Parts: sequence; C-alpha cells; structure tokens
Amino acid sequence: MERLKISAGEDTEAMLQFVLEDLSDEQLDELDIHRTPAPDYGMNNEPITISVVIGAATVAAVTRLIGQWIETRRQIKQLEIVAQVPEDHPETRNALVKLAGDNAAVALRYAEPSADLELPL
Amino acid sequence: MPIRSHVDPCLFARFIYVDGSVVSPAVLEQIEGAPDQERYFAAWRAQHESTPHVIFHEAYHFWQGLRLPYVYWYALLSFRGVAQAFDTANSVGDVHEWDMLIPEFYRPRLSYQLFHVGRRSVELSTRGATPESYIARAVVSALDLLEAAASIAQYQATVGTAMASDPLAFARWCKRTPSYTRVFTFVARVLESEETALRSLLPLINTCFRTSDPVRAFHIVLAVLAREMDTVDEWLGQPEPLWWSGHFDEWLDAYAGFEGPPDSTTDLLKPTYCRLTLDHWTANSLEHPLLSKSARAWIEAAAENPVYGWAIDQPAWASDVLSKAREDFEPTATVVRFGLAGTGNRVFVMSREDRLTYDIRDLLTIWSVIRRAAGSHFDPDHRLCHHSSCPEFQANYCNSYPIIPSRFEDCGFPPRLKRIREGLRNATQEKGEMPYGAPQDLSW
Repeated sequence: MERLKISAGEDTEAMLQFVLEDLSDEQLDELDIHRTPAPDYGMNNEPITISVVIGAATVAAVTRLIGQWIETRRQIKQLEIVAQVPEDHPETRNALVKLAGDNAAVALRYAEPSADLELPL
Repeated sequence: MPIRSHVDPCLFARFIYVDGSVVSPAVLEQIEGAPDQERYFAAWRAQHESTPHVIFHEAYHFWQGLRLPYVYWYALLSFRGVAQAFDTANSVGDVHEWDMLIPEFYRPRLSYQLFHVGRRSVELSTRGATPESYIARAVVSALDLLEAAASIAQYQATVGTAMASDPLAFARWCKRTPSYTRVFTFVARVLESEETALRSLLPLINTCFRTSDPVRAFHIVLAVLAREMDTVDEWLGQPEPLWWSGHFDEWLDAYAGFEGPPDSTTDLLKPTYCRLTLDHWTANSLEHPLLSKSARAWIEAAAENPVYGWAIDQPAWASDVLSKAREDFEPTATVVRFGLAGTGNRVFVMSREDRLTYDIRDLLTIWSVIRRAAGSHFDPDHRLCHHSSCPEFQANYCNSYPIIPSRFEDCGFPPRLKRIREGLRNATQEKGEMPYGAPQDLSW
C-alpha cells in the first residue's frame, strides 16, 4: 500500500474534503484515512484536523487532486507531504515530483516503508 | 492553529467559532454593519443550519455535563477551585502577574495505557509499565473517552436507526467527517467486531462516567465484554436498542473493586475509586453556575419520560427526545464569534437566564483570567477580540470576555474585573471567610 501523510496546517481538512468530494462510496472504501486532531488543551473540542494519512493501492490520483486543490487557492502557506511510496512505483513518484516542482509551498520527503506515519510530523 | 469551537469541562460555556471567510452571503449580511443583537441571532440561526455537526458535537458535550456524574462532579469541584484560585490570587495587585498551577485541572487529561494483549484480552497500565508483548496500545484519558462518545453520538444522531449499527456506513462517515475514532478502533480490535463496538461503545463509555475514575472503569467493562463475546451471541442477535448500560452497571458492581461507598470523594487529585451519582451531586449545596439547574431539570424530565434517562446513550433510538432536548437543554451559555477579516469580529452571548446562577459576564471574566493564569483548559490561540493594538491583547487575560466594543478604549473588561475583585475583597473582609463555601455567598 502507498501512503501519504499530509499537513496543510489549518487548511488540511479543506484539502481533504476537496480530495474526497467526488468519490463514490466504493471508491472511498479503497482508501485508508487517518486524521490527526489538534491537541486538546484539556477541553472538549470541535475536531480539527492538523494532518492526515491517506493510504491506498496507489495514491497517484490523490496526489493529482492535491495539485488541483492548490490551483483553486490563491495561496497556501505550506503543505508538507511525507510519502511512503516504493521506488518501483513510478506513477505515484512522478506525480509527487511534479506536485512539488509546480508548487514552491509543497515540501516533499520520503519515509522508509517501516516508518509509522501516524507519529507527529 | 485555527481557533476551535469547544466546551470547557469547568465552566461549561460553549464557544462557537465561525470563520467569516466561509459563511454564506445570507449569514454575512446579518453580521455586517452596526452591532445588533437581533441580526446576530438571525446569523446564528442560519449558521446553525449550515454547520449542524459542530453545533451538535458541542451540544452533546454540554449534555455530558448534565448527565454523566463524573463530568458534573468534576465541573462542580473544579469551578469551586476557580473561585478559590481567584480569591487567593486577588491579593496580587496586577492581574497580569497572575500565574498559577492548579493540578486538579489536569485530572481529565490524565492518560492511561490500554494494551490489547491477546485474543479478546485487554490490560491497563497506569504507571508506564508495558507488557512483554502486545498487539495494540491506546493511550486514553477521560477527555479522550468523552470525545469518542461525542463522535459516535454525532454519527448515530445523524444517520438514525437504520444505519446506527452499520460499521461500513460508520467507516465511510468517519472518512468524510472529522471525528475522534481512535478509541473506537482500539475497542473494535479488542472485541474483534466493529459492529459490536459501534453498538456498545457509547453506553459503555457513559456507564464508566458513573464512577470517579472513568478510564479504570472502562478497562474493566471492556475486558468483561471481550471475555463474554463468545457467550452472548443470542443476546447480540436481538435488535437495538439493547439495554447495554444495565449490563455494564452490573459488571461494574461485580468486578470494579470500588474502594469506597458511592459519592465518597471530593478529591480531584486522588479520588477514592467509587461510584458517582447525579442524584447526590445535583442535590449538593454547592451549585454549578451553568449546569446545576439544567441537570436537575433533566432528572425531572427523566422521571416523567424514561427515554430521557438513556437518550444520550443511544441517540439514534431517542431522536424525538433529543430533538426536544436540543431546545430545552441548549447549553446555558453559548458565546458565538464570527471571525471577520478587516472589519473585526462579531461576538455575542446567548444565555438562558432561568438556568444561570450568576451574571454570565462576570463568570466569563473570572474564567478568562483563571484559565489564562493557570494555562489549563486553555488553548493559547483562544481569544474573542480582534483589537491587536489594545494593551490587554498580548497578555490575553481577557480571552473569554464576550463584549467587544468598536474601540478598545471602551472595553468593559478592565472595569468589570476591577469591580469583581473589589467586591470579592470586601465580601471576604466582611464575612471573614472566602465566599465560595456556599453558593448563595458568591455575591460577585
């Protein structure tokens, strides 16, 4: 499975909603999605997403949707992506390289296959 | 970080933050222009319809304060701690020098480790000990359980009875909706059944909040449920709503190993492990300024209609009662902030005067100062005001004060705080005692 950990600060949920917007239930079933909520500071909070891990057989389409989301924004502060994508998966790797190349605000790095992406960035 | 809507577990005011850049033109029209309470209410009603999930989530947290004895007990005693802290700090002249540690405030955040150690087997660790091997680990506090419950309640109230127990529908909802699902995932793994986890988790959590140590109770009830899974097939085969709470209560009686009789502790730091009951704490002479009257009203409603007794445990099957509860048991005080870039924030308070014990503006003033000085139950980004050139802005002791004037020079926070402090000082001198022992003495 390929996985991306993405943080777009306070815009993370907006980005995720853009990615999920047009997916059918069946397409959604193919995705693993794990949100990390903001710290609670001892209160009962509205859940706000500060980062999300998206996993699927291939996340190339997700990567391209992120690029489209960035195009809809006038500006984004920073978007960090940690990618767990094997080297022999060229479609996703190429999509990630293009995303980072086209957008200066995107910071891309790769994680080892054994890394726990649900840990803080 | 974005400022988040929340209910704090101490004062129990609901704060709703609305990002002005994403509201509808209809809402924007209502909140722009000169301050006007009626137009703000209209904007709130419109916003209510466009973000029902946030509104429900925070309303559910308020209901937890009314219905779950631990949450009520904590609010009652911790707010007494606020009054004590305010009184003690009052001897320090400049409020900006108030800096305090209130250890009791950390109680709901105290984390335990739960380990899934084998087939349908779970262990609890309170002091960092780790089993030699385990399948999964969850770090869980009382607050985590409350959030997990609020998310499941939100789901079940949204989808109704047809899908309330459907794990696939829940999984899809969780993917599409920001929610707290970590506890559910752990419980589903332990029980080896997402469906049973979805059906049982909300009543399980709520049952555990009828004790002075909800996470400890959670471990016991979960362990028994996991153990019993193979023997309760026939019972599980019946349609919902099943009486989960009754069974969980019986298991607590049998296995919890309570250390004292019910309601035998007021110690937030090291409470005796015991049952807590709403009847006892709502009859106490100590009054919570936002919860007590509503909690007693809910108990009266439950005496007339038993569904009120379990409505927050199984919301999908109590939709009529919860619809009514959304009117009758709205949070006693809601502070709404529409954040508008350029023209400043629009802030207003909605409060139920018949359910309040004191002036909400005074309560919010005191709470602002103490949560800032103690640094707990406080998000450093939390503020209502936009006047960044005000000398009070940086220190943010006014974080929850809800009346934002056009000019910061006209702000009522400093004079109100001064009046409260002088009144408290005089009351203490006249009576020779701190005025928090009996609620009627709180003459701020």
